[in-house]
Amino acid sequence: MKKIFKAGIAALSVAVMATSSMAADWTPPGPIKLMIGFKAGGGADTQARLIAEELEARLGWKFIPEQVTGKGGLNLANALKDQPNDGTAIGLVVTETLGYNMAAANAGMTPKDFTGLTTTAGFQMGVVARTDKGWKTFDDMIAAAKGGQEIRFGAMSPKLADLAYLLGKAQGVEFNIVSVKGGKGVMNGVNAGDLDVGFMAGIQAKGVAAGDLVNLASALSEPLVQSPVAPTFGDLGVEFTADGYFVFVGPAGMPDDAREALSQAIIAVVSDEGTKAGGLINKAFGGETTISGDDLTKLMASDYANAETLLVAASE
Amino acid sequence: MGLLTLAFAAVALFAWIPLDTQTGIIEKVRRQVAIGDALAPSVAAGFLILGGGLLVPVERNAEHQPRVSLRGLGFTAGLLAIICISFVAMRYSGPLVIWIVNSAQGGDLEYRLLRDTAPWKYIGFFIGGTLLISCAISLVEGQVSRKALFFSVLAVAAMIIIYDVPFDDLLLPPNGDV
Repeated sequence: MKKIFKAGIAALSVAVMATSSMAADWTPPGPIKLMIGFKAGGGADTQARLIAEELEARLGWKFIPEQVTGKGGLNLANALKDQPNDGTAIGLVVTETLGYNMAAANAGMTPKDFTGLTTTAGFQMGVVARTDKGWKTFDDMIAAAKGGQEIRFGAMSPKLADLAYLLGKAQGVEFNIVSVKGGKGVMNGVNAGDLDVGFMAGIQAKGVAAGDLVNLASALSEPLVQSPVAPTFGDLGVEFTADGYFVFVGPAGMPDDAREALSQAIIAVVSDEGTKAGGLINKAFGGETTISGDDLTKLMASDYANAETLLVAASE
Repeated sequence: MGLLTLAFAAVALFAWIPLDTQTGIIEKVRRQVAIGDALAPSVAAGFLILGGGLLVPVERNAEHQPRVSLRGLGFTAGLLAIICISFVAMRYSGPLVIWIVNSAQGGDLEYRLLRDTAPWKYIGFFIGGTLLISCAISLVEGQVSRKALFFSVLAVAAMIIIYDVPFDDLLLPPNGDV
């Protein structure tokens, strides 16, 4: 038994070493088309471009960035899935694209049409209000709603609108859910007083630090780094979360050496705070979160499956 | 012109827009009504119908109607043909040159992988661009001349210098689509 165990470990080690060695040897056969599913000039776009810039400097690879925006990343997914899978075409989206957005749109695509490379960072998704509303906690807001005040709740994606609906349902109140374009739109709405509360995915950090905004709840499975006492959605009776990440993907069937080399190269850059990309991720998104390989494949599949459950729950 | 506009609007409304959009004119997403991706093009097609519909009776009854001449139609057809042929040349001359090189030397070069490498990346833009400009000049002048060819080459070279040389991340046509 011991011998078999040892032989197994040896075989596994050889396999890992072989893959690493193959990945180290891999170089893209031509320029890499880098599709970016976010508008030019924003934090996500800057992140993608800085990663590409650093990889060009470190490895001599050539990237050609291209904006492919719209439909919550589905336009990018649609364009990327038919590109060659030799590592010369990759894209940056959020996991929500491959999960909820893909499931809700019935877009004829599933995460199986893509090769997950690596995530780069998560979101600090909070339910945020202006401090001068006078709500110190989430319960204060619910008390106001139950007292007859209409709560205008900003959400920047259909999934978040569903989560806001389920949050209200769990708390016995009905929010007036307003769809807004982008997290910046939600923050502008809250700051201008057009919205009472809204989802913000990290953009609120400065306002919270300055005392102008308050994180009333964490829409994640974990507490927010900046406001650890704010209750999570689980605490508030919602079984779904807004957990999500920026993720690099390529078309399905990418060879292991290309997948490994691209993933490792991106991880090395985002994990290094000394790089511009690493610094930005640390500052804007609360630090890197890298999930790759089989773990990422499983995450993409489970996000897609959970989206179906969320869609059903939010339809009730 | 009015009838052509109406025909185009009908094709857009009943064929192009339904085939190229997904959500319809309005979309109900999870208890919320949102603008669908077919709304804007449908409104545009509506304006085309309005414009075309006005042209048919109003222009037909207007004085000093310009007559459609065979010469004018020929010029338009010639210009359209030049544009189409030049675009095809722009798109495929790079891959064609690579195919010839591979056939001659037995290599396995691939145009897509060379689309950002000089001199390959300039082949399509240079041949297609030169063809487009020189043929358009020749059509207007009514004669083929070396001068037209010379100024076409000059214009295409200037565009390469302005739009490609200073920028690392920009690709000239058709290289973004290969």
